[in-house]
Amino acid sequence: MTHNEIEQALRMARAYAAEKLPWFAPALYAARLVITDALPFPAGIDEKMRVYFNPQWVAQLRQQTNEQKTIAQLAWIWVHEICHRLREHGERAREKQTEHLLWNIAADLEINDAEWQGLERPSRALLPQLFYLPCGKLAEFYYHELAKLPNFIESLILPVWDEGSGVHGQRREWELPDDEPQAPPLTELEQEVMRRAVAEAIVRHKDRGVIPAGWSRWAEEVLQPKVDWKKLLKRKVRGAITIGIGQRIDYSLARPHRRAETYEPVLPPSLQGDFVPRVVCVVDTSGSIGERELAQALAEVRQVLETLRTPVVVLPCDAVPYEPVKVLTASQLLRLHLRGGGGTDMVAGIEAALRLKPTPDAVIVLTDGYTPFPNQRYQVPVIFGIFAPNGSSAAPKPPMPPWRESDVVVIPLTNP
Amino acid sequence: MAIMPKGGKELLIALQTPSPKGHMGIPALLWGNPGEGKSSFVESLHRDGFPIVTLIASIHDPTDFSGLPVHRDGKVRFAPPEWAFAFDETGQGVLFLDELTTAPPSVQAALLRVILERKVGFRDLPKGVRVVAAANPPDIVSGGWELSPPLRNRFVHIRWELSDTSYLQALQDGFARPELPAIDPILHQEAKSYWKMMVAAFLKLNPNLARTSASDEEHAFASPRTWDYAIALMASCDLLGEAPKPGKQGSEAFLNLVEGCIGHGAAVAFAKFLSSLRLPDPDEVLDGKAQATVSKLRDDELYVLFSAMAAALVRRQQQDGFVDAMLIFLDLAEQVCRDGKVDTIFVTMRQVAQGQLLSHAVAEAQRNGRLKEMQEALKRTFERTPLQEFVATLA
Repeated sequence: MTHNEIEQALRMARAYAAEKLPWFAPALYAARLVITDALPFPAGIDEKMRVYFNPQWVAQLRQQTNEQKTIAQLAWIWVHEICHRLREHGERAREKQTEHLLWNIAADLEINDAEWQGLERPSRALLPQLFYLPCGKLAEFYYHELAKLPNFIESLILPVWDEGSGVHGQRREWELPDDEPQAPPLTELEQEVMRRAVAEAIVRHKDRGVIPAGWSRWAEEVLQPKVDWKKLLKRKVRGAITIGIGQRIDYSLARPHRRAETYEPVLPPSLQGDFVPRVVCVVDTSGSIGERELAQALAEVRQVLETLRTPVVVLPCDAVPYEPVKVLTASQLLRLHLRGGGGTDMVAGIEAALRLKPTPDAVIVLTDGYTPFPNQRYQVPVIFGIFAPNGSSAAPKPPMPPWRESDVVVIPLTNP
Repeated sequence: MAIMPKGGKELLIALQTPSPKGHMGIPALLWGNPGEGKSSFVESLHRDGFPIVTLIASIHDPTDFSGLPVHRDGKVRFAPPEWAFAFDETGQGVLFLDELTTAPPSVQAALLRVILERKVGFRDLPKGVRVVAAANPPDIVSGGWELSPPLRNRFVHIRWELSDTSYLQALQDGFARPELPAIDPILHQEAKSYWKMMVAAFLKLNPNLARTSASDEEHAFASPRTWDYAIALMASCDLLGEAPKPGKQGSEAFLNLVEGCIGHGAAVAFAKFLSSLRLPDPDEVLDGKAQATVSKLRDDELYVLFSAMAAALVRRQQQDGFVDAMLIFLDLAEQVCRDGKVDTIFVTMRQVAQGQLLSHAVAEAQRNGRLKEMQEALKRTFERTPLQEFVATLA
């Protein structure tokens, strides 16, 4: 096949994919096609949305099978490559600091199990079943599972494709430089615009029963990104303690300013007061809550408060409040044994927290929501952290009003 | 090729952009992990007559930025510290505030005035002094403080990153010594009016994006101030050939700077708006009022333009001028096919061929005595281009 024939075949495959799976069209056409011998594998993609194909492999494929099948397989590869970018595999790999080949396999498993009508999955495409793993999981899950297997990569019979920075975030030699005028890069922001266009198209096609569940979920997440509960909690606590500290500090001449000497004979006042934030965590220890669930939630809350440099007082509570424990470090938290196991009444816990001396700046209530809620607001900000095992948001929330949606932070717990 | 860390180009542009308030440079805040050369990059801008003064914000007292009170002649004056005089001779340079996130909130509050009002005590910084700050994300350094929203709103936020490959290459070839680009202030003023218009048009469509919530964004968020910053920076990019213009794609630096001013949420919507401007209005093209230079459009743009034109044609079937519109459409389709980009319009052309549109076009043309012209156009587009082969193979 000549270069032109190869390009035509690849373009035909793209048109075919766009016709069969019209919701992917914005991504398929946003991709820049690069045909290069330098690529040691059949296909790859970089972080700038340039899709690379090895011409020899395309020619070989064409020789082995008829034109229709070649197009259907190339179309599958097109979709496979752009899916890596749609799902931000490169960014996710960097965040996780993964080993690139293993991540490449995990990322393939995430996208390969979708059945696309009319497209032909190449026989060597990796599927979760091959490793006795469930379908429909995220690459992070597959990565974690595969990493447990000893010498996993070495044990594979077929060579693993290294599909480039678009998949694992590490630049390869065959990738074009960023400023290549023939195939200009697609910036991160433009890729975000592209992702939304695909997500909107998926939502439009959803009712026709052609979109796999995993992709519907993906589209919803792209269009309505979940608020990061850790950031939300941090913001709320920070707001509360700034106000709290602000109320107890002021300029005073009781102690000299630390640079008073320089200012001689002016005597400047210095800021005095208690700068230590006071946060109380009322923890639901009733029978309905598992110990592991609780430990996980506490550990994550502690992590959130770490950057605020806040010591935390933990106040266990089921139907009655128990003795509060002061926690300074994260490791202390893990060794903590909390009393409880009976019925639930968080109101008692909150009121016990407010009676503590000194009065807290903020009270965080960690509960599964199956509790009476106070039907009045307090002077001190109260933040409800409600566990949602496995991402469900069905847990009961405090009555609104008097409480507001912004008083509640839903804490998703994975695999409790 | 010279090695430049990610964010370097953006910083150089920000330094040379005349600010909306009349002095030089949009205050820039570099976000990056420790050890990636933020400080050494800024310090390498040092030249004769262009001093760089570095202050580690975290080891200073608020009074170092607001001025030290001194008693003289029965009055208390706020005496500026020595570094505030460093620019007196040159009238220009860079004030570099390192380690901003490890500075306690009281110091950050004192810095607000230096950064925005450019005053140290009651002394003005010369107009040619640019303010640059650097910070580590608070969650990676111990003892980090979060920046307050008012402070965040006074910067263009630039992500700083030194990739492994560029570091390796720099070990061999060394880093490029950064050169400040030249931006003519008068041309800049002119370029600004174009971008003001763009932002006004965008905000008319999306009035809720004039301000975005500080708490929804990690660094930058939109406010009238940061939109002003964005306009000034976009104008600079324009003069340096980095901005998207009709028929031209913008560079990554352009979008990074916009995002660094107004935040991610608003920037995504604005980028979408700018890219839609590259496309001509399908109705105007079909009326022959606007020229579509299809050879300059990107693949995804061709796809969008042609599906929009096909939809417009369906709508216009009963209207006057349908035959002319159809001929324009076929002519453009033929050009795309000859450019070897059949795949971008294939889906649309196939729908056109399968629907009533073509037969209706032939019938209309016959009624107007233009049958031959229409048949000729159809033949040219559908039979004498690679489109035919596509249809045959993919049928």
